[in-house]
Amino acid sequence: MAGKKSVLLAPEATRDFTLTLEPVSGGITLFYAFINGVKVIQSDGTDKKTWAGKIPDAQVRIKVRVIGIDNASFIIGLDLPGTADDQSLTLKLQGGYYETEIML
Amino acid sequence: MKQKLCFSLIILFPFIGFAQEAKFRLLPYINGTTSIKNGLIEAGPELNWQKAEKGKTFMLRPTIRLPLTDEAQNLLQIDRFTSEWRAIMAVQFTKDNTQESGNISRHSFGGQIEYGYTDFKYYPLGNADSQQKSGKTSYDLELKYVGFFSSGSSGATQLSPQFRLRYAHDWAAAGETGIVNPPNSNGIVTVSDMIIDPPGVTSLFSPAFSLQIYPGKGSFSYSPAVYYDFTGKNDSDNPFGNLNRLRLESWVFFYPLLSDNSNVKIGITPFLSIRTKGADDFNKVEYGGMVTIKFGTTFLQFL
Repeated sequence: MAGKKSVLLAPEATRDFTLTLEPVSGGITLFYAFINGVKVIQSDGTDKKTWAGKIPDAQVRIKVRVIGIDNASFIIGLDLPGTADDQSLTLKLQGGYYETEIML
Repeated sequence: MKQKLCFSLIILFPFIGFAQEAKFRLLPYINGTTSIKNGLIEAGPELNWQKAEKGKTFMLRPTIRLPLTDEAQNLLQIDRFTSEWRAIMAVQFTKDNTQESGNISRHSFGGQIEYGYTDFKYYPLGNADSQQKSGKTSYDLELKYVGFFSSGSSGATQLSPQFRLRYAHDWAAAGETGIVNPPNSNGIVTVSDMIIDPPGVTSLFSPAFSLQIYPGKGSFSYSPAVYYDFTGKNDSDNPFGNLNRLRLESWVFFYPLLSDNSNVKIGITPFLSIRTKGADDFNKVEYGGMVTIKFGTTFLQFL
């Protein structure tokens, strides 16, 4: 379920941001996403998960952790309306696990 | 040998089940859910409350389940002839301790209560004029725990211990009996299948334990499971003191990499069922195999 939140709202200017995690093939068990160390997505991997909210204009660190079976694949979607084109990355687990960090 | 394998798979095919499920957003925190499985339709709201930063999620799902009027058309007709319904309340609380780095661990606790009514018809004299009706209420309760533990690294073992307690008090229609009809005007004798006996009920209490294991490499997971079923006497609420059976299964699940169709798993297991107390129509030791194909379910969904 998408949540419209501002848990990361800083005193300075903010920008809208949407993060999606979506299973593509194989067995995806769990999705996790953290923004500046705050957990925003924790969910099973049965379908697409979305977090939408505001993030600071300053550099933001996004960490994604995914658990599943073997080399199952999933999509990370990043959307910063009015700032950049939507980005979509299809990634494969390695040995049932994948983690990545993205700086925005 | 090949013929024997083919024959075995054909015998096992009735155990393969398919389900159709849809979930859609109604309001913030509330989804609508519908599913059709085994000729039954289930629908209702699903309330979700989540505090991801603290690792807590809570779900409440009150639904109603009815048998389809026309299974081929997925059609439900509700009218004065509707003779069966079930009300279900499911609740689930999950505490996930996973942080940005380190171990992945979560605990999920679930419960479900079912209450339903069925109007049974039977024909004690074996003809349509002797029809009797009997309305019966059934009720089930289930409690479940699902854990998940992994070190959160490539090639790490993933473990999911699962425990379930189930109590069921379900009324069921008696079996049909062949009734020989009087010869018609041409002297032809026909047979009609009719239910002669009234419905019956036995209570069941079934604890079960399973450990899901993914070794960190390959496309297979392993799920040894043990069930112990206590079955009570006819027409009794008490499931104890009559018949007990121990059942052992050892599932192997394969997760195919199907494009645009994630979370499909194909499972196969041998089973062994041993009667440890009382008597029933089966041998003391029964054995066989089962096959299943599941769509939209993860490593975590088993018991």
